[in-house]
Amino acid sequence: MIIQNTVEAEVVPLTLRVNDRDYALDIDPRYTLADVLRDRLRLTGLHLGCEQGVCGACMVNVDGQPALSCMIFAVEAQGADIRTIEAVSHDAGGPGRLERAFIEQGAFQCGFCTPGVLVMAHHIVDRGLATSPERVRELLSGNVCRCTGYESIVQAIMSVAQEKP
Amino acid sequence: MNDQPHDVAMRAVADEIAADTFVVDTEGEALVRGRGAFIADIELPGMREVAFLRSPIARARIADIDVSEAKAAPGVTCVVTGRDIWADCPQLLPRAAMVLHPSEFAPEKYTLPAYPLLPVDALHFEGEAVAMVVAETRYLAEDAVDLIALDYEEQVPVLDPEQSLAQGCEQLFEDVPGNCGLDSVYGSTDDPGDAFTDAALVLNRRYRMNRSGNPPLEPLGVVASYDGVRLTVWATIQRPHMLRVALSDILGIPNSRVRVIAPPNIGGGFGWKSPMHREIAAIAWLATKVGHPVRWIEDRTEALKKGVHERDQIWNMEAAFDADGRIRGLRSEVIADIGSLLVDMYGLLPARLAVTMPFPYDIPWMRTHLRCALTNKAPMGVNRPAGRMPSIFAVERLMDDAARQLGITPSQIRMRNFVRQFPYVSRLGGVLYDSDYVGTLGGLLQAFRYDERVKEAATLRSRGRRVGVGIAVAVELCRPLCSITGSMFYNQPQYAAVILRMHPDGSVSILSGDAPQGQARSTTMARVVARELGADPARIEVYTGDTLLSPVTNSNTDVTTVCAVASRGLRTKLLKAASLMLKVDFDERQFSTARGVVTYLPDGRQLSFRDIAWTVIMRPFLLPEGYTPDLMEAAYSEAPYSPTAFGTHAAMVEVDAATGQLKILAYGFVGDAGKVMNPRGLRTAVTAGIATGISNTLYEAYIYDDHGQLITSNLKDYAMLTAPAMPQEIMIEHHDTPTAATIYGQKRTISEGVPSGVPPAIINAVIDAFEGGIDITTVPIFPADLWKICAGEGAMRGAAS
Repeated sequence: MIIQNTVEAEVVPLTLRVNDRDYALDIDPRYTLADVLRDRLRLTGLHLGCEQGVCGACMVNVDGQPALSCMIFAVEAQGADIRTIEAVSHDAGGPGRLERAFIEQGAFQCGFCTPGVLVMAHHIVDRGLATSPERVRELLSGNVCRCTGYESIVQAIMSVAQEKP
Repeated sequence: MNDQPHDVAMRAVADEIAADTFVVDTEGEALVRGRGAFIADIELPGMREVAFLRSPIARARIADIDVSEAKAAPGVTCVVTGRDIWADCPQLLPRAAMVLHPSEFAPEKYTLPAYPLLPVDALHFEGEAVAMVVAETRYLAEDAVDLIALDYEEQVPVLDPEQSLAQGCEQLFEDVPGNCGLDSVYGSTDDPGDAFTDAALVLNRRYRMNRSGNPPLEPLGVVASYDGVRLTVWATIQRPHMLRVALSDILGIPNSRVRVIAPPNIGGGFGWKSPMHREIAAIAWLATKVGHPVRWIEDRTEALKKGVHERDQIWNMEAAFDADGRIRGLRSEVIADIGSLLVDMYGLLPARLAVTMPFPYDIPWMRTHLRCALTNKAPMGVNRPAGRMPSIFAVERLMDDAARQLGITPSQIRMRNFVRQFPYVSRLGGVLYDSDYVGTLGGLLQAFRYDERVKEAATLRSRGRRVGVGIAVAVELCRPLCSITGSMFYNQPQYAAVILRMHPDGSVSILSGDAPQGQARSTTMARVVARELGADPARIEVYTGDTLLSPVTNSNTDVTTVCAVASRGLRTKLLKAASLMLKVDFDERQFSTARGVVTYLPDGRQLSFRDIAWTVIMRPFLLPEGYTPDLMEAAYSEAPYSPTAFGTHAAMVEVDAATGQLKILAYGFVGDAGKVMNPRGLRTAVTAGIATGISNTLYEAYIYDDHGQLITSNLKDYAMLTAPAMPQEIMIEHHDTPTAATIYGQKRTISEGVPSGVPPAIINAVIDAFEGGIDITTVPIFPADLWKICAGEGAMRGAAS
């Protein structure tokens, strides 16, 4: 029953800049950015909820914009500045303001969508986009959450956006 | 109700636990930092990845499966078909350990199709697992799947449940005559007398809730490893102990050599992850054969096509009312479309729950006939809120339809029919406990400013806007908590069990076989133990979901009560040792325990938990001869009865008749959760329940075409509700009636059932927006349907007059 076929994969060299570090990798060019981040760099904070570009669980920040890492080939991200939940979620060793607000407001339950939601939440707060709860809801339309009904997420984001820095 | 001093004291402890912020939410911190430990994060040395070939067709005979090309593909370790497994492991599913058993509590006969781990000769729905490829990477496994040549003889699928049950329909499974999985009558056995003949109003209505569900955002996953003797299976499973028993049974490996571990983080369960999907058994079998650990992570399309699916019931109802709205009798003919290859006991559970769950109304004569139809669709299984959504949609639409015909208000008809004395034995057999339906609905009407909103809606309608207000109510009984009631849900054990283990340094491990899926149960358990044992929260560690560490238990059990019971037992052991060390007589009342320190109250002497544990475990010779160095406590607890919770819903909606778009202007929920143990968590869970309910009313649906192809097989088409679609305003309040069935009076079932009241509240509001000029009997409903209904407005009013 068992066979052990060898693989002669076509690989390409790739340099990725992730969370302020440069990684030199040889990868199969069809690999998505999500798979390379998770499987090769072991940055497992981002999750795969659909691999169809809908749920937002795989969201990372690419060159200052939230992006769906399941929809990007890793080779497309060469030269880009990629930041994942592992890098955005803390300040001075502890969880960051948004992360603390998410805990305080009960803005997640199972936590599967949370890394993607937080990447978007950081973008919203950093860019000063949280002008109203309605606006925040609109901006969250690319993140599916099944455990909160979104209200506590909106409240957490609004609470941080309205804080004095 | 229980107002003994004991209960009052317990609720005071519950308040302390609820207000407790000193236990760090360690689960939460890992999750917001991207450090969750989910199934797909597990990687073992030498691990291989698995991908499934899935049936492209709804019904066929397998002619041949040629895997030669797939076997030759790069990186492939092996390719396995159903015949390969059958030759080695000729076992049929569903499995006794996880399947229903008839008993005196659930006596009705059922017939489920038996099926092998992977299909041998027939295919029964699109998306059914056919064969599996094991390869070095998922990419290579999927490549090889594409190289498998599946040759089949297509057959005409049966997709309509009524057609499936009709005389002369082709039999889909050799072992299920008439395509009927369950045919059973519940409720009144006597003659209805004059209930219908003397009624002021007899309504005949047909309501239907089509297929949707609550798929979690994380699909299934399994990692399995076998060392030649012991099998370890990590799985997204809500019931690790039940899975262990079932896998052991299938593979012929003793329980003692099978370890099932649910990862610390599971990305939502909602019942979807309760049963043993056949893929889990196939992967576990695979691990015993390939000499490598294997991993299968389901993708979204697989998940949607494979199921489990939910809802999908037709309710034909005949109801008799007095002129004042009192219901005299209710006769229901229910057809549930249960799909094809049922995934253990959960296949029939939704339909059975739907028909046996008591309504909150005192109905003197009630009979429900349930028939479960097999079709060539994905199998039915429980999905939050477990079966009852269609029945609650039906009865809550029925109450509004009756009220409108009788010229009374929606709240009047409900108030006049509510059960007022508890416990109340429903004609269907279920029992309602510890509730205040009148008070809870009253609370909703107040919180929602119902009367004002009704007037406001009327004013807006007079200006040409389509604004309406609707209400709905629902009894909730999601977890039985007691095995006798649980047996009505097919003989699953319902007790909670836990082991507390104090270590030599005084720290404590909580060992629970429960597998949390986001309910913060680890934090709950830590809080209860911190309070009841008086342990230092920083020195409590919670281990969940590992069958090797923990005693047998079901899932979503009452971990609160069992942790309190275990803590008290361990505290007694600890204080006995403290008495010996302090050379005083043992009397628990003379001690206090807090933050890991024992204080002997008469003289204020103190011992730390470490002082005591170190002596007991490491220096037993300092204690009297024969002293047992035991600081471990196992506890089992079971509620004396199954508490029932209650939820009331109100919606204010606006319909754009030109486009069929519906906007929810405001949503109100007042629930009775018993004693609330985690107010913040409950609010989040209730809001999520409202979101799921809205999603199941207006967005999510499994839609099959005429050939049995699922056309909503990705998340764009199977549209889960997103943030902008939430109500513009949400009010959530509580009208809590503590139960005597649990230690602190908590019912712990409220939030799971929330979605069930949402569809009728919204649809009743939509009909109100048209002042009864339209009729809606089917959900989910999409803008195009609503637009068509709006275009036919007045037809109803015309028919009525």
